[in-house]
Amino acid sequence: MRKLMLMMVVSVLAAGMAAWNAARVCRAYDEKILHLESAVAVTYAAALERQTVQERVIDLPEDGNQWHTILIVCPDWKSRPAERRAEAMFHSDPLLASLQHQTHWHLITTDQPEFCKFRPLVDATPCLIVERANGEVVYRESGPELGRNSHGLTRAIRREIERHCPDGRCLPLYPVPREDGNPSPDEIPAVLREDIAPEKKRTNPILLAAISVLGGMLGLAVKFRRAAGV
Amino acid sequence: MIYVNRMALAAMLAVATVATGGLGTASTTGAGIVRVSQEVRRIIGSLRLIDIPHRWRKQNWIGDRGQGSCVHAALVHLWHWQGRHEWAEWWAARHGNGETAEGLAAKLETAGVQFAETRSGDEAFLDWAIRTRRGAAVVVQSGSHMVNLVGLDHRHAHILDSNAPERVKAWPRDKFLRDWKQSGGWAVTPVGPPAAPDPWEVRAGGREEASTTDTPRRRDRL
Repeated sequence: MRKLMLMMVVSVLAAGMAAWNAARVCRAYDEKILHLESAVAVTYAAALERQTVQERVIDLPEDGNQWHTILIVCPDWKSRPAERRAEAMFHSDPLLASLQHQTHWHLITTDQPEFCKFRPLVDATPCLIVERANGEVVYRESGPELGRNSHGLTRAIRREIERHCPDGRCLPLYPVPREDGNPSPDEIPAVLREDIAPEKKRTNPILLAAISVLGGMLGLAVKFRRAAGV
Repeated sequence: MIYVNRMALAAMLAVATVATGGLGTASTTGAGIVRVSQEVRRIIGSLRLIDIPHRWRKQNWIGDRGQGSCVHAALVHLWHWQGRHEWAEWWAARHGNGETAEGLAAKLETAGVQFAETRSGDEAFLDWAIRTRRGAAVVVQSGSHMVNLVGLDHRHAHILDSNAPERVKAWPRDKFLRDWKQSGGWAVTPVGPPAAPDPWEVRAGGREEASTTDTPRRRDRL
């Protein structure tokens, strides 16, 4: 009997312990779920807030001095391999794709009114024109060869930029005085600026060698005279 | 004697350095006098004037509720200027009647159009819109009408009105700004790439030539 009572007490205690433990685990789960729910709610609210801010407030781009890259093609350019290739080059070549993104990009067909102002510059299509924000044409090339060598094109554009803007310095954007009187800021697209470094003036190696030899001879003569005690 | 020799050597080296063109890396631009032609002056002088081609100027139209569509016409002008012709035509075909700032913002956001606006009469916004050659649609006449601001200088505001789109009119700057602010100070513009300026080239000898001299363009008298 005593044994039976002991077993009953033990089993009641065990059941109590198990119940208490189960309640503790449930409470912990509830807390965890509550915590997760609040975290999700906060994240959702923050996302909503961010979305609203992104939609309503944007940084106004100060791109008034940005250059323009203009590709002029025929109205049916998609059926012309050379023109399609020239256009595709600005997506496939990393440097030209960067140029497209760092300048105002215009794809103009010859039947659009915008083409009128470029007509005198266009010998054939496709025609690529890179111009500064004041309209100064920095680079121009036209014809079916345009899309054949993208690296050559990039090099040629850089060469022309160096000619127009030696050492990265362009003519003032506004040859007529600007209303605000501020100097023009740095404006060459970064992708075309990387390789532009001040060109070192070439020295004549023959002349330098001659000077070195002369100097050496003079030094020897002086030493000889000194040794001779003259 | 030694000093004399050293001085002679130094002098020789100096003369030779000058003769070889210098050893330094600095080089000046050597920009001489550049003659700026009248045509180039005209181009540069009108850089901050949004000259929407006549083909893209749209007459205000009556919507299905019998209201004018000046807000949409002004936006369509700006999209054409920013080179989005197909989009401009699409918008004009599907929108009309009067519009509020809230209503337009909702429509633009639904369409996924990136735009910038002020509803508080912020003059800096107008300066930005003209400085970046984008132009703006601005509310006037106590909020009952919307027109395009296509130029803004110290003295004048240049206005393209869809009720008479053939001509750009110059309003006194103060009068325009007063009218705009009294109308609620709402201005809006799509943030697309502005049209490329008229091109000109630097020719040999430092002469600057405009490319458009052989085809004089039709321009509004301002």
